[in-house]
This record gives sequence, C-alpha cells and structure tokens, in this order.
Amino acid sequence: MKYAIEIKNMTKMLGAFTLSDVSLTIPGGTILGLIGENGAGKSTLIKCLLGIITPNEGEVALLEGAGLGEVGYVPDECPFSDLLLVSQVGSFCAGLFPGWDGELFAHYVEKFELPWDKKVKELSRGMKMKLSIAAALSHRPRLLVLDEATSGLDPVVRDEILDEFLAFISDEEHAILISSHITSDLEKICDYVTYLHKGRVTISGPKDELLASYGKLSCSGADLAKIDPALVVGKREGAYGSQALINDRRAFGAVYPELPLDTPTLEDLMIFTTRGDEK
Amino acid sequence: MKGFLKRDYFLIKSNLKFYLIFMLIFAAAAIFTSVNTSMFAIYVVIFGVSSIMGLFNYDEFNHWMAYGAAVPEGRRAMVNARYLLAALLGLGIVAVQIILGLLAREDIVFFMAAIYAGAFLLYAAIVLPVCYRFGGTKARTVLIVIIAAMAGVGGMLGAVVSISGGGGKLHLPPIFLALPLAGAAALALSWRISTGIMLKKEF
Repeated sequence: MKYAIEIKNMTKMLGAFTLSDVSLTIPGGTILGLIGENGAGKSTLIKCLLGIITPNEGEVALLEGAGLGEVGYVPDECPFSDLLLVSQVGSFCAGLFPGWDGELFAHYVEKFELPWDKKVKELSRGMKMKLSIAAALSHRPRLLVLDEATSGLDPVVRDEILDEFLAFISDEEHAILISSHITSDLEKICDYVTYLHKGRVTISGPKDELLASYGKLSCSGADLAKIDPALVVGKREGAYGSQALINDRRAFGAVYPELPLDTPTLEDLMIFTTRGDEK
Repeated sequence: MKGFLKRDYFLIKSNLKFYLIFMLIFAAAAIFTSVNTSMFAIYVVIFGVSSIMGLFNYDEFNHWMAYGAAVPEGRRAMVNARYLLAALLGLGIVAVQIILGLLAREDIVFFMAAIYAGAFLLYAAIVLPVCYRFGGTKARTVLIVIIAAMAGVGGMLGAVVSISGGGGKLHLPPIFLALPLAGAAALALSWRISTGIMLKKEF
C-alpha cells in the first residue's frame, strides 16, 4: 500500500468556517499527527475523510479505494450508550463490521481490563476510550482514525494506548491518523505532522525533518530586534528575555552564528505560529 | 443492519422487561375482571412510541449517527434497522391486543388490534422522518401535536359511536381492519423519505 490516505485540494464550508484546500497523504506503515487549536478544522477534516460530512471540493481516497470497511474510527467521545454492557457492545459490533473478530475483541477487553458485565456508564473516561479503541481494532482495520482519542486521559493510560498504536503499525499495510491537542503524545509516536491553523494546512511534513528545520531562539529583546523578520515565524517578548521560532535553522545559523538555536517542540510550532499570525 | 438492530434492541431491552410485567398484570385483569382491554393496548402503543423516540435521544447524546455514518453502508443500515424495529413493535401491539382481547372474551378483538397497530404505524411513519431530519429533541413537539390530533380523532369517533347508539357494543365497519395495511404503506413511504434524509445528512 502506497498511501493509506490521499487528500487532494479538499475544501469544506461550514457556516462561517472554511477548511481550505487541504492536501495530504499518509504512507502505509506510518502515523500522521494532526495538530491545531480548537476550531482549526481537525474534526472537520476527519469527518470529511470518513464521509460523515461531504467536502465541497477536492478528492479523498482511503486505502487506495478500499473504503470504510477497513477503517477503524475512534471519535473524541465514546459512541456507545451508557446503558449498554461491554459484552453487548461486542455483540452488536459483530453485526456492524464485516471483518469483526470476536476473539480479538475479547483479547482487547481482557488486555485493557474492561469488565464484561459493567455498563458503559460505570466506566471511567479512560476505560470508555479503551472500549472505543478495542471496538475500532477488532475488525482488523488497516487504517485507524482517531479524533482526540487521548484527550482527558491520565498519562499512564495515554502511554498504554500509544503503545497499542505503535504495535498496530507493525507493517506497511497499516497506518494511523490521529488528531490531538496533546502534542507531546504526537511527538512520541508520529512520523508525519500536519498543523491546521484556521482551516488551512500551515505546516506539514515528516516530524523529524520539521523539528530539525525549525529552531527556537532564546535571546534578549535587543538581539531579537536585529533579526530579519522573514526568518521569524512568531515571537514572545518578556521583561527578562525573548523567544522566537525561526523557520530556517540553516539560513539563520549562516547569518547569526552567535545566536544558538534549540530544537523546538510541536507545541512551540503551534504556539509561535499562532502568535505570528496575530502580529 | 443486524448490528444496528441489535444495538437498538439492547437499548430498549430493560423497558421491554418492565412492559412485560405490566402485560402480565393486564392479562390477569382481562381474565378476572370485566375491564375493557383496549385501554391496556394504549399503554403498549405509548411504550412503542416512547421507545422509538428514546432511541433518537440516545443517538444524539452519544453522537451515534456520526459513528454509524462511518460504518460501511451505515447510513442505510441505521434507517433499515429502526424501521424494522418499528414494524416489529407494530406486530407486538397487534399480538398483545389480540391476546388480551381473547383472554377477556371481547367481541371486537381484531378491530381494536387493527386500530392500535394502524395508529402506531401511522404515528411511526410520521415521526421517524421528523426525527431523522430534526433529531429526537425537536421531534418531541411534533409528537405532542400528533398525540393531540389522535386524541381528537379518537374523541370524535367515540362521539359518533355514542350518538349512533352504539355505546353498549361497539360496531365498527370492516374497513378498520385495513388500518394496519394503511400504516404499513405509510411506513414504507416514510422509510424512503428517511433514507433520503440520512443519505444527505451531515453530522
């Protein structure tokens, strides 16, 4: 499989909001992290991808035309009603997904320590999310799409779930698209990152290359004032020093060798891009 | 469709148990008292109505329809399952009314069963597309209007029967036996409308 997801020039208008001209691809065997502030269009993009809403323009291809049958979807909130038992979720999901594997579901229920005889309302948020993930994985999808699946979970549960995702992409036939506010999670597991800002793709590419090409500068206000604005994505100025995100580490180093740069985090990319936009 | 139907069944299962207990009490009343069983069937109709409306509320609360839309052929399957459930509840209403009527040795057992099943199916035929279009919460208003209209029609029929001197024994024209068929036809048309709504709907 070359691409698990291929989106070309996708646009979706929703009232005053527009997701504009989004193009991205996710190669097989990789994880793409979708980051962005609230209302940036992450969920809209995922919904367009899954046919929950229809794009106004552009093309979307899942698993080279295989369609939804091989996609596992984990929404931000558990989709299973509070009144249902964990065992009932397994029972009716068998009728929803063509490739459902009851034994695999039982394996995940045991692994995630979910109680078969408890109602969904009795589960914690972390357990509900594990149930959603178990359901998504148990029909052996090739593509997993997760919308804020780790939000609101404690670090231990998040780590456990992230390990499961890494195990999922064991070969080039599997891929994951995950949106999250928790950029540190994405930094741990993602191969590619796409940053959506106000409905547009602002930054996109292999995570390691992106983080290596950008630089985070910590300096005095006077030093910051000397820097070519074309190199500055965004800045933060304070009484005790200033910080800035530099868009071309190599070019910056050639011009300002006396100012050292640190490697930024994905959170830095988000925050400074937003600040730069507000200038 | 099987998965969606099963999920709906699991959600109304606890209500079913509750109503089965009621039915046993009604059955005992039908055998040992002279009470008219048709009033019991009203409870069954109300059960069917509230069950279906309740499912839409569960759907909304858990964003179930968005999840279902991301399942292969999910949009059609969701609608098919709910209409099948409505049809099964209609059959249930017929069965309950016939059993209770026979236990009470009433004369108009089949008429009453036909009236209640037809009324329920007609009701479902109207409310289901409204629920799919506007969601369960907004559809409540429509439900109130329909129940008020049905009560009005029921009252008028009662008045007609009373004026025509049929207060002691109800004599209904055979056309009433066709009410379930009219309800089924309306439900089929309604199914087409709901499918159309769901295929286009964005969540």
